[in-house]
Amino acid sequence: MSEDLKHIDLIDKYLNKKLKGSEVLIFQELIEKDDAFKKEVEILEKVYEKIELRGERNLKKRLDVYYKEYLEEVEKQAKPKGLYRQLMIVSGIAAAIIVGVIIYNSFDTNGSNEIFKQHDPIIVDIEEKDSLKTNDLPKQNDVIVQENITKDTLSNKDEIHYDNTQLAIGGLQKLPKEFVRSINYPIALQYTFNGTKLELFGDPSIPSLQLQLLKDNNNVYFLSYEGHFYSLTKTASNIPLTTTAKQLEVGEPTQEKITVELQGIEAVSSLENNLEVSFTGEQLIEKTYLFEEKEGKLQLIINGTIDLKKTNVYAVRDNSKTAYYLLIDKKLYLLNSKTTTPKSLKETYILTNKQTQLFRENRILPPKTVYLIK
Amino acid sequence: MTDQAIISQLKKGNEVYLKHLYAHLEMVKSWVNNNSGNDEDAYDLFQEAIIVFYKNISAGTYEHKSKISTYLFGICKRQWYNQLNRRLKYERPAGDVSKPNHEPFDSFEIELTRGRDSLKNYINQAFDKLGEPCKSLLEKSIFLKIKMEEIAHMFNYASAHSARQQKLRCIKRLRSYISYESVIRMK
Repeated sequence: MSEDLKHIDLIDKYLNKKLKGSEVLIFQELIEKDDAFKKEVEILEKVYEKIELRGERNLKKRLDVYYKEYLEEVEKQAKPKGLYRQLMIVSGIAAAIIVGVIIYNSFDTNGSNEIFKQHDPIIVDIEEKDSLKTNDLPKQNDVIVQENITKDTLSNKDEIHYDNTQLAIGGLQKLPKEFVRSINYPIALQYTFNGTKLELFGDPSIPSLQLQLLKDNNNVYFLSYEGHFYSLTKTASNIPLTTTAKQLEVGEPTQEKITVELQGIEAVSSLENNLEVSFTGEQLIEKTYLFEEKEGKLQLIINGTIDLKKTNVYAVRDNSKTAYYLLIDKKLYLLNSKTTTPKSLKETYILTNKQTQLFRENRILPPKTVYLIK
Repeated sequence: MTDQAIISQLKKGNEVYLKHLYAHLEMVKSWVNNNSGNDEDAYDLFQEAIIVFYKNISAGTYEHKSKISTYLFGICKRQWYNQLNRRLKYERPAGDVSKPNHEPFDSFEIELTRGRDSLKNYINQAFDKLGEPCKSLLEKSIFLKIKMEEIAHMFNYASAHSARQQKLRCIKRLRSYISYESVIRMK
């Protein structure tokens, strides 16, 4: 190596803080005794500084290009989906018309609209899937039990005006407040009852064996659950279970059977006003989230795209503790409200504990025998 | 694309994979907007954070302990708090309408900036004379601090030692385009 290159080598190591052992001594000696070397250090120090600045400036320019490319790619990914969706809607409508015409023709042969006399109404649901549904509406003689009278409860997410989903600061979309709910744990169960069917709201994980149905001579029904007796009145709107002071003794079984349906917590939850949920809408493989507090209100930001119709956030209050759960299309995520930097959404097994089991799907239990009270 | 895949591509010098990091920009935007800033502030912070991240990856000092999004967000947060603190420090209290007392410094600052700019231009012109592969090699080694083993691999040199020799020769050539007197004059 020439003398020049040896000096450059030393200076380069010095500027990168990589001088070792004897190199340090040689460098010190040179800088003290050799003016030309000292000048070289001075010059290369400036040169390196400017190369760094230049590198940063150029990288920033390239990053601007990468950002544009990223936006184009995201747009491209979104477009076919939109076209696909439009195609699906158009084909759905077409299918509905064709099916409609076929049904009309097959039933209208004798000049009267026989189809309207059919016991089970036929619905063509083009929104969900292009198929015929015959079982989703109550049959003619069914008692229609009105569900979920709780004022702010959602009975059907389709009723929400998604157009009102606000575009929040920073291009975020807000989850409508109707989907941000709270509940006190343990939950006070509610019910509806029509004489043949009992719906229990608030805990879909109750074991069938823990429930027993009873009735007295006056045809007053009772529910036995966890050592308590609750009197049941016929009601179409959900009301809280009330214990009866009476100690009842179970007698003979009757032939009568009652269907019990266990419903989730949505009907017994209320709006959570201290939490706002927004999401970025980015198409990501792995969603992340973080919490932050603003003006005394907790903000949950989800980085990713979510299906508004299938998403709920629940604050479950147990004494002074609050647990936050995100429920996306039957998948449950336990959120840590102390997370202030992005954290991956990790699915929580729904059977983990009693609290997570609140988010189980609704269950219909095998018909339960009614017992007489002694 | 997973964090690991992005990191591995960046380590190989496939810089274009940085574009995947912009998936995390929206979150930074929302946070900055909620903390007295705007989208533009967020974008600038995010660019800076990507540069820090990329430099650490290139230099082999990035420890893949947290997710990239958390890492970038942490840098943005820290930088933004620093900026806000600086703003608070230098902002005059409301109602203070007295004439600022630093005019003489302004002209002094301009002179200094001019000097710096001309030195920057002078060195940039010398750098441009270099041509390839010297320009890329020096930028990767001096700005990104990529190790010589990696540079040898990227530029097809037989060994790290050969790559280092090439680097030193490039510096020598660059140095030959620069005069000490000019640097001192423009400093």
